[in-house]
Amino acid sequence: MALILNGTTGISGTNALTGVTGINSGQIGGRRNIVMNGEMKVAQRSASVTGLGSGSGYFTLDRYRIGTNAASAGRFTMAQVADGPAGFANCLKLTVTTADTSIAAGERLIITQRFEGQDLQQLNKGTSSAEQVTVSFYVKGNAAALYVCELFDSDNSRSITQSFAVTTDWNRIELTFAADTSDPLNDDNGNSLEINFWLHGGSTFTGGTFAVNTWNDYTEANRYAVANRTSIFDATSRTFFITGIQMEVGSTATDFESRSFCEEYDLCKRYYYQSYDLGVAAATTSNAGSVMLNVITGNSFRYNIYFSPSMRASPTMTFYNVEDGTAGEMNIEGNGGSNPEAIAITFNSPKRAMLYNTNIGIAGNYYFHYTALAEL
Amino acid sequence: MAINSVQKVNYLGVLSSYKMVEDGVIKSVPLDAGNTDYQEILLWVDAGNTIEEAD
Repeated sequence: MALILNGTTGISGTNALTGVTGINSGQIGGRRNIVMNGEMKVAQRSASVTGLGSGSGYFTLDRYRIGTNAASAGRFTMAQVADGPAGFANCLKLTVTTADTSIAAGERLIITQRFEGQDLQQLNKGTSSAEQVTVSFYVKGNAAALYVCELFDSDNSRSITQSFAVTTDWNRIELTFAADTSDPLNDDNGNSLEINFWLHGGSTFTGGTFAVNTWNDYTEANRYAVANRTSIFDATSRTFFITGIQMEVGSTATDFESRSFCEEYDLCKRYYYQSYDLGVAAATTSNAGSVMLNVITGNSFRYNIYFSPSMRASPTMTFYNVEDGTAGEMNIEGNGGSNPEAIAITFNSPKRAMLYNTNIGIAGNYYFHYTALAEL
Repeated sequence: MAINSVQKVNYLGVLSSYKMVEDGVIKSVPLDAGNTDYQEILLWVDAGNTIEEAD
């Protein structure tokens, strides 16, 4: 195959890089995907959790937050499952287990990934050189459906939305979002931007006018106001599968940038880490991965836990008795969880937590598990 | 997630963290404005709730 190098139009020819004038610059070169865990490889907390829908939080796959605004009757299972289009081993699957067709105004269900502003400065948002952003992902469902993908600027309360269709087959959705020359993102470790996948919403979020691919100071009623939208809670047969999520600078959805498990795991550990093995839910009775410290004499201990990589902010720490899973304590070895002792933290930083107790009752070997949470 | 209670935890007489009980689970929250649980505690206080003194 002949390749023609042209400094203006790029490399032309079969399967050419049209419009790309160099392979070491722009979106074709280097690390492109801003999304973490886009291939749904990492699920520290659990591979599957049932009965979700009554509250928000992180439950299974790392970095993916479930958002609900008011208690819905709808319930679902969120799981990492071995399914995907060619080249993808896993996806995130939602399976509705309780339908909700009487939708209260404030209900919503969104899958969200949040990003630090310091990781988004290449978007040039809020400047005359602001960049377009392209979001791509693979989806399928049990039946045809229409949902919404939103970029939400948390620093400035601005929003841009586009709808996408789901069929029973895996399809890649490619959405290029307009550049925003208003309101720059903060250059810090706070939550600056969210990708939101809207799957359900009450009139609070649907009562307005849907704006297609236009940045606006957000109006709650417009966010899921697209015509012919689907509520994932309309039937217990509903499923939603998604994987291969990519967000990149520019107007082209390039091939998905696959990263190793280790790379993705390290990225995720900036926001959450647990001493339990991967996929073992906190509070499980398990010794694997637990921390042991020995109180030889006296009635106190100090113990440092170092975080690698450093966490986004000083994390909230939750400690668990290894032998019975009780939160807020450690247990003495071989005592069936009895005679537990409390653990407190001090001088915390994103790099290290110092644990202590100055009132230990019994000397001996103590065990505990912990979670460290610094999500956005 | 609902905060049940928040209590100061002192280390050598100095406030070192908060002991937060959320949905019945005891958590140690650092004094870091970037921590989302710390932010939630501030909102919880703004809503009229009170942080308990240390034991």
